[in-house]
Amino acid sequence: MDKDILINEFGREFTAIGGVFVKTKGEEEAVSYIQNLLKERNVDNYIVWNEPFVNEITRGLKDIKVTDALTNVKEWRNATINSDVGITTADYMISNTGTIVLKTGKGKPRLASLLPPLHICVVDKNKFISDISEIFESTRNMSTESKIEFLTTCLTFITGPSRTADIEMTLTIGVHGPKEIHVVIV
Amino acid sequence: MEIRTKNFNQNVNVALAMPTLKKAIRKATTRFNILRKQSLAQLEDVDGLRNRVKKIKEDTINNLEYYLEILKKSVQSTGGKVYRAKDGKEASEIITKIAIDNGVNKIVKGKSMVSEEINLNEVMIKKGIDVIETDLGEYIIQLAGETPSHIIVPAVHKTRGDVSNLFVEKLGIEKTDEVEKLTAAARKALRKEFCNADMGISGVNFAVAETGSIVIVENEGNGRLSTTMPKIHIALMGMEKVIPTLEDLALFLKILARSATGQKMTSYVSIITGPRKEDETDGPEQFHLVIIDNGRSKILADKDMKESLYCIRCGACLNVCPVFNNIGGHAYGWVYPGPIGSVITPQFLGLETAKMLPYASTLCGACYEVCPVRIQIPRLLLKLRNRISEQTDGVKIKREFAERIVMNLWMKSLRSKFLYELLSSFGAFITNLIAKNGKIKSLPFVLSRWTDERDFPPFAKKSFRKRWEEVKNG
Repeated sequence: MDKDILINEFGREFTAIGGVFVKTKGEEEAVSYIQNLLKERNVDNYIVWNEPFVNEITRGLKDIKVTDALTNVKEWRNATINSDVGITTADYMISNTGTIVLKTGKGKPRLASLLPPLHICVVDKNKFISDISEIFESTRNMSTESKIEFLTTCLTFITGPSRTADIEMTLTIGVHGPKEIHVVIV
Repeated sequence: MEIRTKNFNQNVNVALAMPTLKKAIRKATTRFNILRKQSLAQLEDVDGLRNRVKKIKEDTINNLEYYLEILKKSVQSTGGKVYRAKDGKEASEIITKIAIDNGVNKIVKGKSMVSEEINLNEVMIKKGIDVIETDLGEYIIQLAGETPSHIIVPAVHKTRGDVSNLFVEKLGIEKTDEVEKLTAAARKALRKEFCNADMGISGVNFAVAETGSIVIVENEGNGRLSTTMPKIHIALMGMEKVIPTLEDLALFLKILARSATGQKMTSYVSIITGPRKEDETDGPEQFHLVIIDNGRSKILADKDMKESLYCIRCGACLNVCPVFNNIGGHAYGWVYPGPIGSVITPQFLGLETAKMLPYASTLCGACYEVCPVRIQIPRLLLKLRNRISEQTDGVKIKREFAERIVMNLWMKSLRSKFLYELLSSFGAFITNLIAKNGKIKSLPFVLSRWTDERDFPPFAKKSFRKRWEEVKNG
């Protein structure tokens, strides 16, 4: 399916569930968007995945403290607790539900998209797929070991910010997970 | 959880005397019903999907031990440990041992209904280990010392005022009626707990046998946090939660959220496979899966009732049930309310202990219509009623004299055309005699039980059969 159609569908679904969807023309624009956003929010430190695509972008961010995911466990934990922003990329972007799919691994820890109140996901066009079943269908001919490796220790499907309606059925955003998610397409 | 099923009638009266409860329950169920319908309408072939997931559950349940063995081997291959627990006592012992061996002082818990079956929190707290519920609704009722009133929104019976008073008392916040502020207070308090906890216990929505993965479906993020921050993760599952493959999982993920809340997907779905790897910077170091029976194998062996185990705990049946909508979850007296509760509670606790629950139904069939895995709830309820009336399994019922007379007469009159027509004519005569303005507002003796709640209509003056004869004969 044409990537642009998928991207637009994703945009609609993602926005409908409270996400912020940003299309940029390239790295420069993406860096500038994120820099401005962090400035707006008075963010003085962020945590980030140690992953080539993301780092291409975050390399351009200036005057701001960063904690890299390949630091030691203790430092990472402290950083995730005290940081305002987590920046990751994604492994898949599911258009028909507005879902971001994150694998876990070296340099791609779980808490980056979970503890900070603002999660920024930087992604390229090729990550977009139409339906969740495509992910599982792609494993069909794999051996069991390969399937397990494919899943990684934690495969997370994120569909919008954290929410609850536990009190009087009143929708509240940002319970334990992030209050805000920005998807930036490069 | 404390068992209060024997006092069903009392529980119902208490619930009916609280109009605020009914209002709160209906606010939730009405919204879920509307959203559920809208969201399922977006799928191309809902019935086809339901048939497929039902078939998967049917095949899995019919071969449960086989799939549980595969699950066990898969989990072990990823570095996790697997335990089978016959009942709550065994499960608690397993969990306690893991806790003590690892010097655990504090446990954070995601939603797990099976843990409520076995009173896990109580057991841990008695052993001096702190257990904190992290789902906002469960957290609220834990602080309040209450039990859940709905599967998906357990604290829906509490107003914001209730929650505010509770948080003022327990968290020391300032009084507020803003839901956002209350939620923020809980977020702050619970974040500390996540950071300091030694162990996280989660439930399991699905366990995928082929890869040894467990799946957690949630909106808040507390499931993710409890299974990521503490060093140890224990996943607790009812043994019926296993499904064969990842491709099966995709189908269940398509239908679960839509049936439960009308969402296309919940905010978070986590597929967890084993503990963290050496080169990962966060995640638990230990993964333990405790597979609990607690009466499920008995249901499994019961040919007529084993489809009760297909349930994926979506709550759709609760939302459409006229009985649940009037009495809420507490009245059912145990962990599982609503139609599915009425089916499985008597099987878990014994017919005698929960013999009123199968009668908490009008058999309207709305539950069957919405069940994503097509459990024939009305049929199962009738089966249980049948067993209760035949006093199997230690059931003792007292047949009321009046009921016996009426049922006997009913049975005889249905077997004899003459008697039937005689009684119909008599009924028509009497009811029309005593009706005022076409209604009978009160009937004597035991019949007053009907007219206490509703009017009784007079029979038609001429029976349909007579009118049909007249029409036929021109």
